[in-house]
Amino acid sequence: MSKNPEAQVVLRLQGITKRFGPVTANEDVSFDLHRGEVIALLGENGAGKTTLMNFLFGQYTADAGSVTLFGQPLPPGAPRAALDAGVGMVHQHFTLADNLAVWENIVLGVDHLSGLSLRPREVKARIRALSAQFHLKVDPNAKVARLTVGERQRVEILKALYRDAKILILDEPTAVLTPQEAEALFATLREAIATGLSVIFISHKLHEVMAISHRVLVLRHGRLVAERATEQTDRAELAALMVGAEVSSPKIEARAAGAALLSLRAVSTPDHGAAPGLKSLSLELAAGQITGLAGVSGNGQAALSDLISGLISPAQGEMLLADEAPGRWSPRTAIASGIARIPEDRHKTGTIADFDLTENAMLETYASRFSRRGWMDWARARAFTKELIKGYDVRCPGPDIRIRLLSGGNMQKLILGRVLEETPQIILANQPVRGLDIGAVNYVHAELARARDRGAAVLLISEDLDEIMQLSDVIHVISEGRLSPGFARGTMRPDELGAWMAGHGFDAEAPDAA
Amino acid sequence: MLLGPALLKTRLGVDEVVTTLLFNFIFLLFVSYLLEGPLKDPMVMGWPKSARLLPEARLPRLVDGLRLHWGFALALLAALVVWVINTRTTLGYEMRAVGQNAEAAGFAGIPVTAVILKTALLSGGLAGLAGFSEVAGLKGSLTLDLSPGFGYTGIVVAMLALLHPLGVVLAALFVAAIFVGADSMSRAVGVPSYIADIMLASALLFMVLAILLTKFRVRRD
Repeated sequence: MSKNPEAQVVLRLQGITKRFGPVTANEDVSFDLHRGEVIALLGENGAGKTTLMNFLFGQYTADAGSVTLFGQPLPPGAPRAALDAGVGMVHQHFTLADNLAVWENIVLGVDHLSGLSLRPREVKARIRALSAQFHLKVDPNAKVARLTVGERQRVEILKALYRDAKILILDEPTAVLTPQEAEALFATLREAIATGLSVIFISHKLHEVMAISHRVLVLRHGRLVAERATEQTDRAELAALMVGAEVSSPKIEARAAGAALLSLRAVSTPDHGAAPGLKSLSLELAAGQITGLAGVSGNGQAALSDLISGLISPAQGEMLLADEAPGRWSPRTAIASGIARIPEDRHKTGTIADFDLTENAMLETYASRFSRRGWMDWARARAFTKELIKGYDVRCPGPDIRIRLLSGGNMQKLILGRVLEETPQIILANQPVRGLDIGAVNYVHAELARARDRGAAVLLISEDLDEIMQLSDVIHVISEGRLSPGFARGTMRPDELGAWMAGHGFDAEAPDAA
Repeated sequence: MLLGPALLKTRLGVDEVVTTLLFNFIFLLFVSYLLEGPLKDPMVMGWPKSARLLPEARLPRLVDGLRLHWGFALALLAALVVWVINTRTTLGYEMRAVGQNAEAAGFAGIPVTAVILKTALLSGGLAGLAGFSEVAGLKGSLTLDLSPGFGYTGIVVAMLALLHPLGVVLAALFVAAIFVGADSMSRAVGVPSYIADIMLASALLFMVLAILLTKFRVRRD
């Protein structure tokens, strides 16, 4: 794909600068977006990508610089101005009303639902026409609550198209999609630019940026550090630009499996609201292996994670630790059995925000290691925390500050240190690098690989297929609480795994007990 | 007696403020029954009032001629003990963890249910101690109007102290000064004693507002 340099400039950012106190969110950022062009905004978390887009929608006013839309200056701090001028944004977190139908969601904010001028039949006809034109398959009459995540995203895009958006901004759109759904999204975007739309694609996934964009803008610490035509760059260069240095993700080589340290035999757990439980799931975690669990979020990962964490017990089936049934199953038993648990949500589950680093570091071992006859041994706890801070490269002013002041990466390193210091035999890592920058991601991955090399059994749960494929010795796919067979490293292509993620293949394999 | 609300909280997740508030009526009526029945002072005809405590059972005065009694020392001691429990003991660490983030505490293996039960029992004990101190130190006998809303005032005091066990001492003295001061002012110069409620309410509101505002950063454009 190449762009026509003569094409009309639809959006121009000039010298945008924004500071929050001592923190510079954006500094002197300028770029043009042309008609029919896709530009990718690439950068680590916290590089200032989302802040930059928030200027367009009036959430922030810039300290310096200006925004020009279709040749007209955009008044700062006016949320509707950009919308009215034809900018549509699809956020990472969808903004749909669950209890309304698709078509109602699409017209919400454009027309009055109760207004006399509203003609549902015409609205739906227009939505159907748009869906057909842009390959966005969705039933206008369906309730949003019943839609899958991929379908919801299509509704968000339809919403923007229905409003005659000329510029579409997508914030990390593929984070929640299977590879097939992501491919379909790209087909839609190609259709859209052919009709003259312009797209800003915010992402930190290099291969997607390479696949869809014409130009790549790399943001680092709020500055625009590089601009490349996609044809003239490659993933390695972009990764280096993103972090400001050559990055080497840890090399991980396949290993043979050891003994099974944790086995699930036909385990079922009850559904939890919309989140499915496990459906007669069998799994073995072998010593010296990383077992990757791929799947679209909300397909039973939470139930499996809760089960191994000790929060729930199997309703049916059994769980064995090194071929023995554990006693009364609880988080405390799990910890005592040598299971390290890295929870999905480090803010809500992994740490206590207003506790200091010491109090958080000892959260799992306070009773066994840092208390004597009911009295806390704070001196030892503090010394232990200082060692963790040093040993796991937690960047912080000291062990006495509240953990809420730490960045996500440093918070995760503390959690990692807390559990790895116990030299666990089994490690449950649920989305261990979500929201972290590349430096922290590589650090966490290297630590997991190291634990594996000394013989631990690691279960890696992630929605990021790249991460799963890079790290895992064995890959399972989970879909609606059911587990695919294990695939050895390198035997499956992403699209084959994607088919399992979408739920294909399970019925052929269906066990006799339904 | 706080076992009921504690079990409701741990088993069914019912909010403890609501259940203990509702328990107030049950216990007031129970005390009322005791005062009309088994505990009724035979010397006082028709008045719901218990017999006077034996002189040996009463808390002595701290200073002769003043009403200040050993209950005050008891209260100071209680605040100190709670502070030590909170900061120095394993139970205190567990209580703070469960209070701030029960989900993370449970995930880390802290027995959340047991900790809530222990905390509730401890609070119940402290409240009982306060009631005993009021009867044995000041009133001398049990009546139904023993507490003119001490419980609710306690919530205000705790909030003003930002839930710090030692700060509670200062906040309590402050609140007490306002109430007692308002009484004598209304006697001496006829200022309505409601002024105390207004002062306290505004102190609390400003406090809450101030806490809220500390979360924002002031900046000049």
